[in-house]
Amino acid sequence: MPTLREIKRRITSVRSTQQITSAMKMVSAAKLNRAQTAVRAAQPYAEKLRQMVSSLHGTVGGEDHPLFMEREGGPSRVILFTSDRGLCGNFNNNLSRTVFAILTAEERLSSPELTIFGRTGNDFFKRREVTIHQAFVHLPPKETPSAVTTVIEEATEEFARGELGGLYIAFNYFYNPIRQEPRFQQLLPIPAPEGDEVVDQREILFEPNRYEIMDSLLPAYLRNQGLTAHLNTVAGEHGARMVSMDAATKNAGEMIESLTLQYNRARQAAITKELIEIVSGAQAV
Amino acid sequence: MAEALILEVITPERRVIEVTTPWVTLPGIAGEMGILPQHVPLVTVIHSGVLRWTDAGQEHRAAVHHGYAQVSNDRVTILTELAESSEEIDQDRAAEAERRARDELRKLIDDGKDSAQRNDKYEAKLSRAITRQTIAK
Repeated sequence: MPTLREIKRRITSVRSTQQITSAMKMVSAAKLNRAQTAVRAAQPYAEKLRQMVSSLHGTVGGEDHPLFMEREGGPSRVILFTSDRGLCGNFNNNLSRTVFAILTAEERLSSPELTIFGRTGNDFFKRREVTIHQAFVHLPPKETPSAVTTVIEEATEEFARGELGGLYIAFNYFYNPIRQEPRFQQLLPIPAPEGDEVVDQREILFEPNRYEIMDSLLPAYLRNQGLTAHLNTVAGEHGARMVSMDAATKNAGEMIESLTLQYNRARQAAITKELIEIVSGAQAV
Repeated sequence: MAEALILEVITPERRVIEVTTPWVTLPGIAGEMGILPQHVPLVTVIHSGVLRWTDAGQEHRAAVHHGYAQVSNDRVTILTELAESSEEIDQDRAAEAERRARDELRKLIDDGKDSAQRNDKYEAKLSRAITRQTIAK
């Protein structure tokens, strides 16, 4: 049985942890708000860009662009978006595990190599037998978008030269603050649109011509996909952290309650013991 | 039969404009391009330039800086990295930017260092500055 003082000390310690977690929760909530706005605001642009690309990607008519074509051989590059900081539940671990499973299991990814954004992803993969092409750890938030752009541009060029077999991105898709889902998406070769998105492009007029538009639109689309993944990651990170800090605060509360109960019991036991001592002492006289 | 177009301008940060208008002119790469209702489906690249449309009889203008336009089903969608209305533009700054871009370009040419890539950067700056001033007038 711990002494009264020990219990008291534990209560104080849990309480100060609770203060920290609840502060972190509030900080995340504020950051989430901003990140969420950014994700939502970027959506229409990304969506339209994707539509334009699918209208260019024809099953009907015209020549093909190198970025649409399947490659034989060459490594597949996977760009992984994780966060630099932990304390956000299984947000990063979940994604890293998913990616690891894909890398080790799937045959269609020939000699995969990783480009990692975020410390947590790097920590996960540096202990495993996976080729890491590049890792960006603790980048200042302002520099991340331009780093993402550069990575995508380089990969696009390598793909166009035939040095790369494929390009994929892996990130947590941000549904809402409490729900993120790992996504593994093929960027290159640009996958063909599915089902009702197939447009008969003989009807569409391309100005100046389809090929030139593709030369500028496709790289812009790829860059945008990378940035979208980044925005989703940032928003998801704060969402996940908010949720896990909320849970931690609640747990701390429960712990304080049970410790308080224990403390009161111990206090009562001590009082009873003292009373018995006094009474039996008096009787002995 | 639709007699109006829906014009929307979207940048990565926000949806800048969404209006109904009888006509739109775009800064196409081969010059200004007018779009009226019932236009054939079109996808095009646009350059830095002036976008014009009318709303309730009033003509509006905005600067768009490089992007793409899509016309389908009487809907004109413009995707651009940057779009600005005339109120948002600081003319003095634009004039200053134009001067700087010209200086840089001249310097590159004088030094014999002009390469397509470097020129592109300053030419883009220059055309943005010129567009801004056109709008702000």
